[in-house]
Amino acid sequence: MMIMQRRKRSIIHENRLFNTINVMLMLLLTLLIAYPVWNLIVSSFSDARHLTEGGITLYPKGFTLENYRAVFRDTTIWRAFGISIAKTVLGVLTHVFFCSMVAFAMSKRYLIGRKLYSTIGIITMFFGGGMVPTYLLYRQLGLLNNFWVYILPQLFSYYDMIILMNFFRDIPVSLEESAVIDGAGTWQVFLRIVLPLSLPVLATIALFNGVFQWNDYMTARMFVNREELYPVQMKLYEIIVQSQTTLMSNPSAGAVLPTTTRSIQLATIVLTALPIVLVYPFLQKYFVKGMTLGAVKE
Amino acid sequence: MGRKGFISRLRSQMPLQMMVWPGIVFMIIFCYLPIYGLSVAFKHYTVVDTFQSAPWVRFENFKIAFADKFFWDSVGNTLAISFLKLLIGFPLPILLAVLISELPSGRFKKTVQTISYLPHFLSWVVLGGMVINWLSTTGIFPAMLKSLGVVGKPVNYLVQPDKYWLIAVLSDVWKEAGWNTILYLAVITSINPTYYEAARIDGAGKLRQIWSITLPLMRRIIALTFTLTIGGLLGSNLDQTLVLMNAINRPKAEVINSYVFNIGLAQGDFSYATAVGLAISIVSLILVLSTNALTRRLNDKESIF
Amino acid sequence: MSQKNIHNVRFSKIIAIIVVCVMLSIPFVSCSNNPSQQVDGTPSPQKTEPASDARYIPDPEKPAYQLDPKEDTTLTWYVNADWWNTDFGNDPVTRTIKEKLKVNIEFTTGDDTKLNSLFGSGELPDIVTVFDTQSVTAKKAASWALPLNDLADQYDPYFYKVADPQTLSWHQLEDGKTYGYPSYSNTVEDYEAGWLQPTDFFVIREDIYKAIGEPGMATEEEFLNALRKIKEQFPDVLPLGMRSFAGGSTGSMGNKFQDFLGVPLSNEDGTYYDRNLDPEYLRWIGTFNKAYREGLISDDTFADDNTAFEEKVAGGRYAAMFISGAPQLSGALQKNIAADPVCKYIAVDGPKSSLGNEPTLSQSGISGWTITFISKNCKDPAKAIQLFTYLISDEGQCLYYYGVQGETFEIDGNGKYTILPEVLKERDTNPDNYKKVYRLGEFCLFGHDSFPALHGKDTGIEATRQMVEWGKGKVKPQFLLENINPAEGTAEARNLTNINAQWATTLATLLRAPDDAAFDQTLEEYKTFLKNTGWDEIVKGFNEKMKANAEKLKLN
Repeated sequence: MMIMQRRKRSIIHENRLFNTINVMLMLLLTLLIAYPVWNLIVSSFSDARHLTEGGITLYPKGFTLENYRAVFRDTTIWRAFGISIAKTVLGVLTHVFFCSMVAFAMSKRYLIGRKLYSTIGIITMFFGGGMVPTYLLYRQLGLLNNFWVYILPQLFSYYDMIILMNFFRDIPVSLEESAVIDGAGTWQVFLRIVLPLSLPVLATIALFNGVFQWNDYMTARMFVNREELYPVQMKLYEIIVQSQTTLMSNPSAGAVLPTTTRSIQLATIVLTALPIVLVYPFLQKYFVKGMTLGAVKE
Repeated sequence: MGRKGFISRLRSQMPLQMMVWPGIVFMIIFCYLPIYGLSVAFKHYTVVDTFQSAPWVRFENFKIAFADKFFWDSVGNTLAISFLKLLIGFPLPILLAVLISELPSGRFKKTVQTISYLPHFLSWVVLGGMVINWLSTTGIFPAMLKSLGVVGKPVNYLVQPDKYWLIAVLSDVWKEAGWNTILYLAVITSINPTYYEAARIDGAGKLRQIWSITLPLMRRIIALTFTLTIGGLLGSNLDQTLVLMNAINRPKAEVINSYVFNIGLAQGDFSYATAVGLAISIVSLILVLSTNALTRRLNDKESIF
Repeated sequence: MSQKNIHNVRFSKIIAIIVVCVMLSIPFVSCSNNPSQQVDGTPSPQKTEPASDARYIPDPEKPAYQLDPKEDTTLTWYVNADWWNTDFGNDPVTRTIKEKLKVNIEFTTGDDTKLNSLFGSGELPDIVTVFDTQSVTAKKAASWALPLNDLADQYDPYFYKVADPQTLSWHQLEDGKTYGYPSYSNTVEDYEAGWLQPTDFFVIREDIYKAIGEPGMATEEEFLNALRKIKEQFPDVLPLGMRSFAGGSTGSMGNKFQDFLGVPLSNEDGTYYDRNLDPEYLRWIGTFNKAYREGLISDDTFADDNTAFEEKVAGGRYAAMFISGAPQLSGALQKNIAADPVCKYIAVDGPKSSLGNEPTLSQSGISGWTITFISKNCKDPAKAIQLFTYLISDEGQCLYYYGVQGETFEIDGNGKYTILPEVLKERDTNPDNYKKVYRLGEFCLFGHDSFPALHGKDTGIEATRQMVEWGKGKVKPQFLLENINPAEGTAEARNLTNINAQWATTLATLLRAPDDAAFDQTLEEYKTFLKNTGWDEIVKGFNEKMKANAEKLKLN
């Protein structure tokens, strides 16, 4: 009895030590990362003169909202926001559904042709034709200058499928078997059992794909000419690039502009990261330990 | 059940098969149809050419690339940087994910997690400028080293070629480690908490729990990310290179991407770039398949593909 | 099959069919969403309109756009740069183009990959502008563009009155025809007229210069002494700076400094002279190396990227520096003045060649900056050549720089053009809006510095005014050296890229050499490198092209 108590006590000590060290380490890490990021945020609120002179550390010098105004001055940016939100939401929903659908099937070892499918998929992860044939293909499919160019080519990614597939394999077969005995069909098993048990990984794929959709400007740059279809990132890219031309045709502007290309870049980074940071807490609840298997009967 | 014929087995799997076929169709359309673009590697292709008009040169582009001493120098740099990244940057997110998951729930935990992935959103154009700033003789890094007594006077490490690899790797790890924890966290949070309950009752402390429960259950995902990282050994970060590379550290900083960029794309020579890209893809695929064969043994003979 | 299974199969079938249908129906759905998409992408060129159907009779004395009755043509124009402003018709400049020429222009932008996609799809826009007059695109123009000579003969002979003959002949291709017209192509006359402004200077802070007694800095002794004095009196400032070495360039210490010293451009007989190995130049590099060893040049100078360099300029952190590309730095220079006018940077003579060579500062040569073509796909080549003629003419130049008389500019008593004060005020206080509303000085694809130089009243900026004064008369043409690089995609081209990269590394290493022995060794290693990397072949190529250049120039 005494031995068990002593053991228990030493384990409690061990855990407490562990927790303390852990918290301290994480604090250190946070500072290491937070300082430069804070510096960046603070710089995005500083005016160009102080930025070029340097020396900004913990608080903005020459506080200004000009860098952000430079972005919002263009009223078409709101439409671009709409496009970005639409493509992110629609893109993520379709991508996650499509990939998990395929992953579910591929997770079954008895799937006929699995090796063949797998080979087809792996090759796509390493070999691609490049921008130009893709351009010609999209042209033939009518995807150029079309909103669907943001969605259709993003429907499926073999890499994401692999992640999901491996995850699905960890779900105990007994759960599926008992569902089948209770009369569930393939789709019911998929929709009612497997998906709800996979929320963390679904949230992860959704996050990855969402960040991609939100940050992507290459698609617009190569395949879209119409301004009405530009997402926010494309607009921001244009704004940054245009700020360079202002200086080209009008050198004296460099002195009076409260913004420089660099300062606008900083503001765009903050604006780009902000929605993700705001949305992430909603996804975080899926990263709580044990939430998925809480309702499962063993 | 008796031995069913192939057809009837297939029929019983139909719902499942139909879930896969759209994926296959997708890959055929969007990945395989454009693959004729790889033919550029075997042609002499410039901006004004179309795929039909450019003349075939068979293996010329490959011969040119592989006979080039500087190309191999860049391969050396690429591999060195990738290996360092593997050594430092691969275990770190795993460790971080475990530690973060062990933090007491609450605001601190959420804040740590959020802050850890913020650097992922910095573009290298901006981050590179920041690194140059920190490493300059008036920057915080030399100042820190000086106050710790490590060096006598401030030194700018960006003009020392042999320090480049470390600078490139550490800055990249700083940027991406937090983001890379997300996938591991997803796996950790799916672990059945009753395992931990049982372990605790049996008298296991935190460390023992992590060692015996958490890590083993992350085996599959770790094998996956490890394999794919090996597959990416020949790749590198072009944006980072273009900012941090200067005339002095160039011999150690030039990686395959940047070299091909300067020799090929900057001169409108698409063939060279495509040929090198194709060669790299083949090698990467071989690396991935071999690693997969190796890790299979650790994963109950199950391939992650 | 059980009931359940049939149910499942049907369900799966439905899903699969829906997915496949959606994917296959996209072509049909989108066609109707996309009115601007070309219907047929076959690359067959439009036949140019036969003379018998001509809309008008061309007149060598009149620009054809004044004769052309056709209303409303739309032309597509591709510019191979991301930063090009694709707006058209909303500002005085493009609005005038639209009204006078009765044309509507749709711009597209992109990079080489996009350009290649356009070639691949056979849907080249009507007009194409690229930024490298020596690129494959430009050199192979005969295969995809229409010759300007033919177009001018057929539709707009007035073109010959505005286009510069030297420029036209310089850009001739093998078939003797010219396909593209450049911007900022400066001919021999332009150089001789003396109004070209240099962009490279050796500058020093005015207050520091005065404090050390305004010494001459022409010889190595004088130069080093001046720097040493600066370090004594102003310990917080970096005595000598230079443009960044980022991305493997030689910054301001390569051929820019050679221009400063007046290093010969070629041998007496017109063959290639390796300026990098010029003894006078290398002696000065040795001097700078001594300066480095004495702590007068900081290591940061070598690691900084462009942004960091501009930061130092704006903060006046360098006492003296070699700058190249002053116009790009004018923002930083102005900020420096705004912070403290006393610290203004002024241009001084600085290092001089001991052989008495005059500086040969360079500017845009005869090849120009951008070059614009009319593609074989052009649906209305007549309108296109009219557009060219208009933009090249004085009227077009005036529109580009000054806008519309009465609306954005005036002509003063001396016949000089000035931008109206309220427009200037907008430019100086609200540049973003100025760009959108007025757009002066932006439509640069046929620009040429001669118009504002000859007709404009000087409204230059304060930061560079003194420098420009200093630079008058010091600009010399370097036509012989233009376009002598080996053709893209050849072994010589690759070797040259590596040699240039190696030279930048060598130069930076020389500047930082710890002692004379190391300096000499680095130089020897570079010479060996040249030999081992096919330098002789490359020089042969240079010589051939230089001879061809000389021929071209003689013909004018």
